[in-house]
Amino acid sequence: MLIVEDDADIREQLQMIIEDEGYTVHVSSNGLEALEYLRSLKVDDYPRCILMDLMMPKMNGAELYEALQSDQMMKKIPVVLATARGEREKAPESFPPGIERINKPMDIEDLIKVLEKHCR
Amino acid sequence: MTLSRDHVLLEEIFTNSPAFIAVLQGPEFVFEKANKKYYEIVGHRNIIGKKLIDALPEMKDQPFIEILGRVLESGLPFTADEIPAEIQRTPNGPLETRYVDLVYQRILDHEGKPNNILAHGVDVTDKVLARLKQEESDRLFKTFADSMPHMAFVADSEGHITFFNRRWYEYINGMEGTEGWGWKEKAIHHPDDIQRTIERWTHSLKTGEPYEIEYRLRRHDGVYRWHSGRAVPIRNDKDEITSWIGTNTDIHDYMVALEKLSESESKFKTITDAMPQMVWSTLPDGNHDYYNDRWYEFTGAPCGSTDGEAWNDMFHPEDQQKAWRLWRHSLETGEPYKIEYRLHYNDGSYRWVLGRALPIRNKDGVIIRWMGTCTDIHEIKEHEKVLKEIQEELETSLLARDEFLSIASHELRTPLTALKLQSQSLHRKLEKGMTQQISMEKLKSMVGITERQIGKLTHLVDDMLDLSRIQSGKLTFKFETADLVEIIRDVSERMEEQIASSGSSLSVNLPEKLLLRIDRFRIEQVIVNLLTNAMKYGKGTPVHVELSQTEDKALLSVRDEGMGIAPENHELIFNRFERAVNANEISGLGLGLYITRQIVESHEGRIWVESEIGKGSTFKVELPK
Repeated sequence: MLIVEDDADIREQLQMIIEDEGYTVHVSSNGLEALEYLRSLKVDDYPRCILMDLMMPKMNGAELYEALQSDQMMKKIPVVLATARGEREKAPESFPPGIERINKPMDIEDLIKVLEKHCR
Repeated sequence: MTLSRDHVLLEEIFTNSPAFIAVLQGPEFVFEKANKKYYEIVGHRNIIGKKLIDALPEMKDQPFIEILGRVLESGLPFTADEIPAEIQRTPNGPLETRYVDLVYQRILDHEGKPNNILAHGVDVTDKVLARLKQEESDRLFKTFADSMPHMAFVADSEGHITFFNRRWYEYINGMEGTEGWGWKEKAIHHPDDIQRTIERWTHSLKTGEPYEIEYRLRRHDGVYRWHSGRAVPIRNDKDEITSWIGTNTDIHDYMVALEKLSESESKFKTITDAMPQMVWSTLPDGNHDYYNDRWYEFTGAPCGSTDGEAWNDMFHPEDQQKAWRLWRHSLETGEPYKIEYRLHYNDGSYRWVLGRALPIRNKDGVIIRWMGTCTDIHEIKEHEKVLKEIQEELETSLLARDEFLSIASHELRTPLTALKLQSQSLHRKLEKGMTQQISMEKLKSMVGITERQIGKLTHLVDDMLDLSRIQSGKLTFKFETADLVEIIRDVSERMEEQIASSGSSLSVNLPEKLLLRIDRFRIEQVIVNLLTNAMKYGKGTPVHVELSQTEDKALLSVRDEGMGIAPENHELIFNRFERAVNANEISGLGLGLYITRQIVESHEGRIWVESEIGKGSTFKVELPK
């Protein structure tokens, strides 16, 4: 799984929790970093799912999503948005309406459900 | 001889007497003798020795022969004045009426017998004709005077009234008591007018100038009506005034109407002058003929100087053409005129005015005049402008608020997410009995995370509280004398680790001591904000802090070597919710510099930035000593 999150503490916690659950995880602090990481991978090694924040420096969630969709292979990776309730209405048009979301502040149960759904 | 001389004398007298004389003899009245005047009156006919009836055959049907008969018979003389006689004074000519004063008297003949008649008299025809003519003329005048609608009078040269026409009697109702009635003794003039009338009439009598006056005369029912009195003198052939002819014309209705008109005009003027608006009127062709006082007061134009079409000069040059066009259009179509324009004000400025005008039509629908007003709407216009500015400001600040809320919600959720994950993962481990597996190192890291996130939350909440305090004017300060050097040292030490972990280095250049009267806590906040910004935007470049002083000021500068700030944003960044860069790139509420500036200004200091894109930024704070 790939997690894109700009807050270092949250990154660290998420990594800890997910690894505790027995999954492998890679964290990136912004969209650009995430994209660079994906480009460094072979298609077979692509993560099963990407959990991304919306507001991030350098490349935000929407821009990253757009970049993923423009790549034939990367567009196949499922994307889950971590959005605050207030951000839902504001979520940029660049996302399809039915995109998977989990609420922020994040609930561990929700996170584990996403992991079980995409990464098992 | 003596007899003969007497005879000649008598003969002479007889012949040349100014009276006509004839002697008729006997019952047939044969002309025995006639003098020059007699021949004249009968037309120089040959009458001597002839019977009266033959000599003057036209006497046949007249009473004279019969009268002569009576005188001859009775001996009683006959006298008559102005008796008419029809005489054919030219052969085959017409009969001519002559008026004569006549005496027939019986006298003795040659034989001493009373057989003769002396007929003598005077031809008074001219006198009589003149009198008749006068009488006719008088009658004519009276008829004329009585038939006219005016009250006419005739006065003698001294002003005494000698004649009144019928209208006078009708006016005072009856002829009784009119004897001696006139302008002076029994005046019917209004008491307020009598003195003026006497003076005026006396003046005309004295100078012969025509008499003209307006006064009130009392009618039979006691009502005084206005009259126009006029009189002109009549002069004789020696140019002496013999009489005056005058008339009095009833002008009461006219005067009342005039009075009403002037009353209504004065009422109109009072109303229009009392109005806060300017009022004007024009003729149907658009030529101005009236402005109220307010117009002249407002424009400062001299009275009357804007009549006709000169009003246009009072308009702002940029508005003149438009006003002309609309006004011409209204004049041509009769449509109401409405326009906003700038009008010259008496202090030389121009003020916004609302101009309106409506056509006034007569009963046939023809426009007889235009009535217009100008209303000063300058204040309203100004308010509108201010209102629009406020509205725009409000819209901008609403947008900024929405943006802030969205940022705030994101910023608040980040520490909440971290804390929530922390507690949930601990909870999960507790449930699974996995607490033993948590290494000491992990525990340390977890506590670190918790502290940092709580710090972040506290900072955010503090900033928001400060914002709300600033907005409600409740940001309070506790001033005390403190050493700014010491404060900077404390803050730098506290933040050293954080700065280092962001990849930056901190260099500090401070004097030994700098005592100021400040709110220690708030100034600390200023330094923390500036250092945090330098760290955030410096992106790992060195941060330099410097403190210097002049006689009356302390100058703090915080410099980074980061991305820099474009000049157009140098002022903007100190506003609420503003940042020079995209919100996505840097976390935080965008309140730091706003709060910082409020604090500095509350210390009567100032804060500004010196920066260029790509060359880092230096924030400078100046505080008074």
